[in-house]
Amino acid sequence: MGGILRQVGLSVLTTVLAAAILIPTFVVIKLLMDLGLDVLLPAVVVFGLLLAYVLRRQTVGS
Amino acid sequence: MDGALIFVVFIVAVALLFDFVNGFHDAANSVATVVATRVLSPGLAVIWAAFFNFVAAFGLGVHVANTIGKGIIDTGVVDEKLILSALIGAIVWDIITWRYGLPTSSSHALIGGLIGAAIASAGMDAVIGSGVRKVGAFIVISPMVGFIAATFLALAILNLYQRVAPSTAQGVFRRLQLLSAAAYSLGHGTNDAQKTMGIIAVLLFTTGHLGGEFYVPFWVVLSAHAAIALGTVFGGWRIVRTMGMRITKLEPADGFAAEAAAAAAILFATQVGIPVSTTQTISGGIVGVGSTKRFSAVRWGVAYSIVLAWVLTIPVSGLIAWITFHIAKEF
Repeated sequence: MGGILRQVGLSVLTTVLAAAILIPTFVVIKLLMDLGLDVLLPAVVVFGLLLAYVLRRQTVGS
Repeated sequence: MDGALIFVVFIVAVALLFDFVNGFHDAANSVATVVATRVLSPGLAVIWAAFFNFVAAFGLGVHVANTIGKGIIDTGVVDEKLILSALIGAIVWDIITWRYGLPTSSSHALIGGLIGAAIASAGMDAVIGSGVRKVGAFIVISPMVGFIAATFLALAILNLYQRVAPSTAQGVFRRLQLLSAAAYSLGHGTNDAQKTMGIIAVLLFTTGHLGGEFYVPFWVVLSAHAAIALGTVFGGWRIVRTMGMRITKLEPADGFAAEAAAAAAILFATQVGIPVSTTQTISGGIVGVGSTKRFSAVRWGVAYSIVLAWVLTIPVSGLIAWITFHIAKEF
């Protein structure tokens, strides 16, 4: 019973966490989109490449 | 029934067939992780995906259909032959890429077909530059956003579950995957079915079957969603079985993060009226969760398919549609 309650609690927490990450991400993207494609496209590409670079450095050898 | 009406009905049927094949092809994307982790059997998984493909008909709007219908090419140049040529351009390119195993997008093929047929009909002036630019930009933006959102989500999940027993985490994500797969199927259903709706609506509008104003009739909404859902049911289960085996290394938590991020990206694009490749968006998400573990192990097929979309899909499907239109206008 305790195990099931723990799983339910974690499920709710994970759903809230997903919403807390995804909603602000897409609010930012909408704001960038409102500024125009000339802003959105380079911003997303540069940030994505930067993130990829950081992940590459962090996961070397793992 | 007169000849012109029979031709319109025939083109509507071809458009719905295109939609059916889309469901047939893409079912695996939405439920492969659920099958791989044995949360659902392949049969149940495709029914799950098809159900959410269909219910996407209710309440998610027709913004993408409007973009396809009147945002890519000038509706003044559209006629039956143009739409048929666009569909043939997309279908022929899809068959060629399927034959050679190239990972391209049928959405981009359809857009390329529309542009090629419109240029053949009325020259470059028939193409709406701002609409094409927006769709072109989202070929890159959509998978990149899937990558970024899935990376953030995967990192947050890694932190939250650091002190949780693996068996407990497995149990949680097995159930949460049902939610993320449903959300992804909803996004896939609405964005992809709306492309067909746009094609059918603009055909009906330009042939005088909608009156003076462009809109998407509800029967078109329902038939497009039914076609994609049926495609998922009839074709999906075999592909899902194969995909399920191929991606067994994806943990349930990874599947959840990739699907949730991709679903959010696709639903966002749908609400702002942008037709995107659902396959490339979830591929971006999968690359994101994979990168949080070992960057070098990620298969960079998604980048390859984006380059293919830019360099090949839109121009070649456009060229096929352009040739088809020139042949069709002789009859």
